[in-house]
This record gives sequence, C-alpha cells and structure tokens, in this order.
Amino acid sequence: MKQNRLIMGMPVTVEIVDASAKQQDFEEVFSYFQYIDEKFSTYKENSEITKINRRELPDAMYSDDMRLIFALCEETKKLTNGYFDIVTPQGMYDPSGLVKGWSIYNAANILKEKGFNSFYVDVAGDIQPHGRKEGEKWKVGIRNPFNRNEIIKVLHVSEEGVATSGTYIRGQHIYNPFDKNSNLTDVVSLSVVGPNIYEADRFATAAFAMGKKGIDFIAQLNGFEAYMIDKDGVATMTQNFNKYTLP
Amino acid sequence: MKKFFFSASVIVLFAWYVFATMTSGTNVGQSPVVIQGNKDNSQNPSADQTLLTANQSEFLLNQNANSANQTSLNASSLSSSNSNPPPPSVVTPTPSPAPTPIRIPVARNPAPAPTPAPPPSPVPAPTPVVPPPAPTPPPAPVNQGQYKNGQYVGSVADAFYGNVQVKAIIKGGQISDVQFLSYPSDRSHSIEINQYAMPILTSEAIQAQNANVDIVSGASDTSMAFQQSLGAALDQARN
Repeated sequence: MKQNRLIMGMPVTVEIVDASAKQQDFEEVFSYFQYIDEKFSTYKENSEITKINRRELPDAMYSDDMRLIFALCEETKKLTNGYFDIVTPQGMYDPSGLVKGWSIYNAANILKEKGFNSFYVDVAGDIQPHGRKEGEKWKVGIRNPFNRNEIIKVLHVSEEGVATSGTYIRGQHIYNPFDKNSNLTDVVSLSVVGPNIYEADRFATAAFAMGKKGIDFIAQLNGFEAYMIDKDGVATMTQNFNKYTLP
Repeated sequence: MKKFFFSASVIVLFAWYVFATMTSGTNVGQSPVVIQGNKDNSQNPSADQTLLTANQSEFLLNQNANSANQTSLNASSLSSSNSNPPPPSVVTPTPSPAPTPIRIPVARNPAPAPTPAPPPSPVPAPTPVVPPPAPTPPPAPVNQGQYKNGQYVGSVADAFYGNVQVKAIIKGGQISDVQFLSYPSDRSHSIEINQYAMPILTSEAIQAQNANVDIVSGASDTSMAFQQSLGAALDQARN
C-alpha cells in the first residue's frame, strides 16, 4: 500500500509492501511528520524554532528533540569543517538540513518497530528504504536536474539512505557558510548514498555547500558514495558509486 | 627492492599527473580533473588521453582505511522523544585525513557522437542526451624511457583537508618512485604511493535511463517550491 501527503511543504510518500499494513500505520508516520513540522518549521509563527529565533525561548526551555537537534548539528558542523552550519546569513537558526533526514530516519524506525519487512519513506526525494520489494532491492532513480521527467541513474538499495541536494531545494537556502553571498551554481545536483538517510542527508547538505569540492569530501568518508552533476551536465562519482547501480 | 607498484597503470597515471603540472605549468589545484570512465576512446584528441580511459578495474586502489576516530552516537542520542523504542545506534563517520583524489583532465567539449544527438546548450540547459557509451577500451601500453632521470617535485595541490605535493623519482627513464612530500594530515612526511589508498573519481556525461523505478530522488524543482509555499499559506490559514 502506498500513500502520500503534503507535510512540511513537501510530498511525503510511504509505501509498505507487507500485507498486514493498516491505515493506522500510515497515519502514525504522517502524524510524526506533522509533529516535526510544528516544532521545526521556520515558516510557522508558533513553532519552537521560530520562538527560539525570536529570542522568546531560553536554552533551558528547549524541548528534548530540539536540544538533540542542536547537538547533532554541532557535531555535523565539526565533521564537515564548518560547512554544515545552521546559522543563516540573516543570523537565524535553520536546522532543516539535518532535521529532514533525521525525521525520515525516525519515521522509518516507527515502521521497523512495528515489524514491517518491506517499505520506504520518501520526503521530497530523500529516501529511507527497508528490505526488498518482491525479492528485489528498491529501485531509486536520480532525477535529471535539467528535465524532471527523466531519470539519469538507477540505484538499487535495500537499507541505504539516498539523499539529493540541489539548487532548487525547497525553502532551504543552501549557501557556503564561508562566503555567504556567493552563489552556489557550479553543482546542480548532488546525490549521496549512505548507511541511512540521516547520515546521507546531513552530509549531502554539507557537501553541496562545498561546491565542486563536495564530491571530494564524500569520497573520503567511509561508507558513502556520491554522484554530482554540474551545470554542464557532466557527472562525477565516487569510486564505488557504481556498486549501487547493480541490482 | 621496494615494491613501488601495485598497479603499473596507476603509477604511470600518477606520473602523468605530476608531469602535467610540471611541464604545462598548470596549477593542479585549480583544474579539477577526473578520469573518464566510459567515454568513447575515439573522442579523445590526444595520445595522452588514451591512458586515461583505462578501465576502472585497472585501478586496484582500495578506499581509505578506516579512520581511527570514528565516533558513535548511541541509540538514545539519536531517537526522537516522540517515538518509543530507541532506534539502532548510528556510527558517525569521521572524515579521515587522506590524500587528494586522483583526478585527470576530462575533455570538456563533447566530440561528435556516432548517432545524432542534440548537443547540450549552455543556459538554460535542456537534457544533454548522449548515445550509449562505447565499451571501455583496454589501457594503452606504458611508454618506456619517456622521462628524464632525476627527481621532480610537483606543485602543491589543494585537497579538501589541506595540501598535497608529490615528488617523482625517475631512474632509467622510468618512474622508480613517487613520494608524498605533503598530504593532509597532522604530520607531514614522505609516504610512498603504494602505502596510500587514494580516492579516484570518475566522470561521465549524464544519460537518460529506463525510468521504470520505484522511487525518485532529485532536487526539488520550482513546482515543489510552489507546493511548499501553498502548504505554508494553508498552515497559517488553519485554526
């Protein structure tokens, strides 16, 4: 069964192959994303993050999840030499580059805990799969950044998270924290395959901010592969990326 | 006798890399270069480039050894307080300081294709449709005695984590050793190339594939931005 909703301003698609899946299981996942939206959306007047950005909420009053997110963001910033930075050029906190993957990871775990053997959770093209569909790995297509109706690469994954950062990414203005006024235009699409979507997404976000060096960064991370497409339609991939193109 | 090579073509490739910077004066750090994985060999204009279309399997380099400093997020630190059982623990990779990836120049101008295909136009870019890649040709034989004896130091290349500089030692007209003079790490000392796993990047023109997939990953486009904006507006409209 497959269902989708528009939450957090993004299409959320959940497919559960197990026959035992019930409507209530989907609702639980969608509710979780609603919860995430209420707390972390910088577009919502009364979200916790907006209150923090209006200086209405002292540190001591942060919720557990907010505190956790800030800690994970700080860790990610260190791992990426500062390229992952949730402070916007306007001086506000926007942790959406990490919240997205993290929330998908947690939503998928909700389904795992329920014992489902085969499913995926997809939020605007960031994907956490689990198991296989009718005996085969999940087939994930990378969209052609120049033509959204075309697929330019097919990946076969079972547990690996697939995240793609790009120039038109929704609301989240990815910028180079070391040169906040520069325009990141060299790279139009960067797809990262990692051990899970939380990892893939946070590093995809950071790597995209590095421009063409982003692929070098991913190349030096163990357990990650990436496929970068530049504005001329030339793709660069890490050494073992092709293993994911095999069924 | 030391073992310099675990793949002859790698060393030749590396020497080419070193020599390209020395003879042409190119600043390696500024001209990112990548191996062409599957371009038709006939498209390569120069003899040098035939070396570059070696099948990837020729490169027996392993990926970087695990960094000793992998940190572990335990289950409780990653789970959301809204979900009940803790998720499995996640190992957080630490980027391991390593030498810069080997990159080789790629021909930027696409040569005429065997079957007619529209060439990619600059802005806005439509789909760069290219014909299926030709089978990768075997690597060209190594030229013997092509180099002058001596020791040559390459220019400093800017890798992500710092600088890389290598020294090539030529004896009997052949590369007898390549040494790192500096590489991104806490200490800098000479390391022989065969003790180092260097990441290799490959490039290709993007190419339409069979669209029969289960899921699509891609950067959101303007229609998504519209949906997001609409969603945000509706959220505010809601009581």
